[in-house]
Amino acid sequence: MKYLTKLWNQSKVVRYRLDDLTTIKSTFLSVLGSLIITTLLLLPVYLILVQLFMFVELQLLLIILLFILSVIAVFIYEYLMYYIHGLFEPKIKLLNTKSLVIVEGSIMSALLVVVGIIFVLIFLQGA
Amino acid sequence: MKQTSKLKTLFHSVIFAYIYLMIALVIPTNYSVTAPNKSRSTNTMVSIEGKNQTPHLKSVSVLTMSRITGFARMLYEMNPQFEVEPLQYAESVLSPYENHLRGIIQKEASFEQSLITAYTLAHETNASITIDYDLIGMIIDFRSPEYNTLKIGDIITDIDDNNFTDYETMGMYFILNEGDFKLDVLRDDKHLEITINKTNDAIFRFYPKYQINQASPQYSLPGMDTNLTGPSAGMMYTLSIYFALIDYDVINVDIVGTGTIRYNNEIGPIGGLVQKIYGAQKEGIKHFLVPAVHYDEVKNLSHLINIYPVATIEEAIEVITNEILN
Repeated sequence: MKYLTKLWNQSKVVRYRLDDLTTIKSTFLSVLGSLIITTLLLLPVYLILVQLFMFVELQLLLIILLFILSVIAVFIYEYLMYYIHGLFEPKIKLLNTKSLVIVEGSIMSALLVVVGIIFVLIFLQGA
Repeated sequence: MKQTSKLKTLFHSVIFAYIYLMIALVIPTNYSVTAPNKSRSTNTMVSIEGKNQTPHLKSVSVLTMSRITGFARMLYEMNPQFEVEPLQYAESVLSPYENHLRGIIQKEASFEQSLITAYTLAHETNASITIDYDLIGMIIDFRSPEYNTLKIGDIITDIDDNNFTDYETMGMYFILNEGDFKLDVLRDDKHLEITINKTNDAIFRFYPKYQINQASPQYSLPGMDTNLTGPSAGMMYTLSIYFALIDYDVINVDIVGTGTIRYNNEIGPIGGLVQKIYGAQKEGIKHFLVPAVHYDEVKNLSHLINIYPVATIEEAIEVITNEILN
């Protein structure tokens, strides 16, 4: 709990300092770049998994794998976003963006998992 | 410098492999696949109020996917239980929405026909079981694309002012004749008059559309809220409703079946039978009812499961009560 509180406070400080160092343009470009690279990296894996859904006995395993992959995608996106930001603004490299990646990645992936569970329940109800 | 060169080489090689992989994963082909799926108790699809409905009568569906990608085709063709084949004519000329709509129309028609057939049969045993219904017309399940003034889901209520009262006469009049037809059409609750010139090679496919006014005992259709579509569970719905209505509660083994129920009590043809048999066999089910017209296609699988060919619903009742349960 102490570690989590420390991480949260650290991420707030890093976020505050990031706001000073970044511009709208660099933010836009790093988000776009990160989104494109994450998509290019993970899209083939998603497409292969989706096509495996025709194997009924694999469906449960595939649903779990999709969840894991979504969480991985969020963390890759977060990491790449701050990495690309660092290329635009080298001072960012000196900040501890790892804490921000962990905090933001965890919140986003938790949200994704909740939405995913709702979708899966709706899907299974109609199956 | 050397490292940069290695990175460039790796990038050259990987990017081509990546593009090939993406083409294989994204570009659709003109093939569709049919794969085994799970069975489902028919009492979860149609339920009769106040009656004890057996969970042992089951329908089995298949998973289908149209316009599969090249990668998927390679993957599915490796599995002998899957059937990969070129797109059927209807699938290739209709939009995905129209194909989806067809599935829903077929499911609705299947429920209506099952209820009418089962209640009518049960009425012969018990006069207090009644159903009151009217024929609205013929619902269009498929029409050749050149007849696009008619839409999938349109209900033809009359042809050339003949005031037809039964589905068979109406259908035969339309199928056996050609030339100009004046059709009374019900579309989105609005009546339209559409004239078409039907040629000999035109393809039309219909289902009867009924309005069920009242049924005793009452029924509910939880299956309308499921993603399952198509007409192939009609026979099993009919059997489930019929046995519930006559209080026949001695079915204690799982019996799975497939086949449409037709207006004249015949069991009509269906698709993906081999995959359905594999699906049932995986679940350890021992008895499978198939339409008699398909028996030759699957009799070589009788070492996996007991296969019973049935031509009519009366024959299916006979097989269950006298062969399977004895």
